[in-house]
Amino acid sequence: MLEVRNLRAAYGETRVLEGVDLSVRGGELVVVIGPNGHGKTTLLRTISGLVPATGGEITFDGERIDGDPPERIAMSGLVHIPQGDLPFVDMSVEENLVLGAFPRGAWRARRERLERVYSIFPPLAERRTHRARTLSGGERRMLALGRGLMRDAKLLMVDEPSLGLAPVIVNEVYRHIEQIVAAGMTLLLVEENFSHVQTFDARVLLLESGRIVREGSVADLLADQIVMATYLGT
Amino acid sequence: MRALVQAVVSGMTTGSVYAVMTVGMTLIYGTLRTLNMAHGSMVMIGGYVAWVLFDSLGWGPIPGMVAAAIVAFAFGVLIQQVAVRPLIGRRGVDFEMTAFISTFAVTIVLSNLALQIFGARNKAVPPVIHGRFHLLEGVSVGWHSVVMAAIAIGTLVALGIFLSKTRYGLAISAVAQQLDAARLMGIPAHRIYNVTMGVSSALAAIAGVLLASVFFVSPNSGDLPLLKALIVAIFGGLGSVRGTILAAYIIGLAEALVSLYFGVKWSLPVLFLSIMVVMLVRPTGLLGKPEEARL
Repeated sequence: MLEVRNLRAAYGETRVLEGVDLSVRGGELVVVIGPNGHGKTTLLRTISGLVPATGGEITFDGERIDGDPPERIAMSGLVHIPQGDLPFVDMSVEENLVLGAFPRGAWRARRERLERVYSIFPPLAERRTHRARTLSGGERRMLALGRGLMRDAKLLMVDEPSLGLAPVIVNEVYRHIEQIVAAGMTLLLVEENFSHVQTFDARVLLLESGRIVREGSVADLLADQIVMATYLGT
Repeated sequence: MRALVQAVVSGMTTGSVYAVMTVGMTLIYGTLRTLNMAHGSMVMIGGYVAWVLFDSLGWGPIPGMVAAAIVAFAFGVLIQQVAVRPLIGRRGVDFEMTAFISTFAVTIVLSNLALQIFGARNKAVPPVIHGRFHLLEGVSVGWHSVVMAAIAIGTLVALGIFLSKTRYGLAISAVAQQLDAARLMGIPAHRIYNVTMGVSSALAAIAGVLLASVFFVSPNSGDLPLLKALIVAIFGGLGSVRGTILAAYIIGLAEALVSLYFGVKWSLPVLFLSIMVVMLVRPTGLLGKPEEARL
């Protein structure tokens, strides 16, 4: 589904990704963990085209996509839910969601999809006419996920779904992610640590200083004393 | 009292036309974060299109207005492609400033082209409708003003529906509010810039046809509208459509009242002075929010 080879990216002179290799197969859940400031967000932003790659290759669904503008990559079925949610703050919840169905095929089915998103996230239905600016952190996260579900995704990339939320809300958000995984979606998830994904059947990659330094199943990493000490503090 | 009513009516008419003339400026600022200094030229082009169609084919102002909007839409897209798009995303270059200068250059080119093609003489476009009616005892209003205001308000309502209900209209607001999120949803940024420039230019041209029947059309007839549009857009808060429309009516009314009580010669000085005061108190305008440069 997604093949990343020796990917490099930089902000000006500052190199952030120093040759990342990763692959995501159809139906798989891959979680990239790593400390803040080591390139997780940049990795997703480079894959979706928001940050230009300075080297390497990205192949998505059999097509080279590195160098393509983000809107073209999005049209090919890659849904990226960015860090910070980036809602359209001066638009209503419903307008935000409807825009998630911008690709032509999704646009025709926007009414049904809207109802589906409202059934998954009932709080959004209650606040459908409210401006996104007025939403709580948890509601914003739901809005960001809901916007992503409005169009057809071959691969869903979610950037730190737990970021900045109260623990109760984080569990709620992860319950939704579990449902999305159960529905057979291919998912690439980024988190600071894997405390939230311990129960998932996931492949975990450890990103440090712009490189993948460790790869394995959740069970493998749980058995690794050094990783555990660093990332779960146990 | 009669004079006051007269001034309010004329202020509301002027305000409606100002709103149509300016709202495009704010739409462009919203999506591209730059001032389109060629905006006044679209007012001029609108006037010339209406005049040419009237002069050669005998078309009235209403079909002339439709034609002017279409021609100006094409010009807007052309300007975007030729004078603005090549400046986007250049490293180490301030897009806002280079686009400002580049569109100003477009204005100079278009004014001189108009001078070459049509000459310096003023052209007159007939009003949509002649005659006056009595609103109150002693207050008479030209039907033309009523039609002008009605067309202007109708245009603004149509714009509101376009921006809030249609796929591309919503996408314009999306790009204006959160460019990265919009692109991640597959909204093509450059096509949205084209549509924004096209729609904004069409609106300016509609205002141009409305103004052409009151004033004349000349190679410079976009200059004052550009200045007024800048004042209105900055006063209302760049990027805010509501703020711009509100500001257009306030400024239209203020102009009419100043002209009534102090004489026409005071309307521009008082306007500039009050804008300066507003800018000191609220640098982002009435409903504007601070924005960061981003292209």
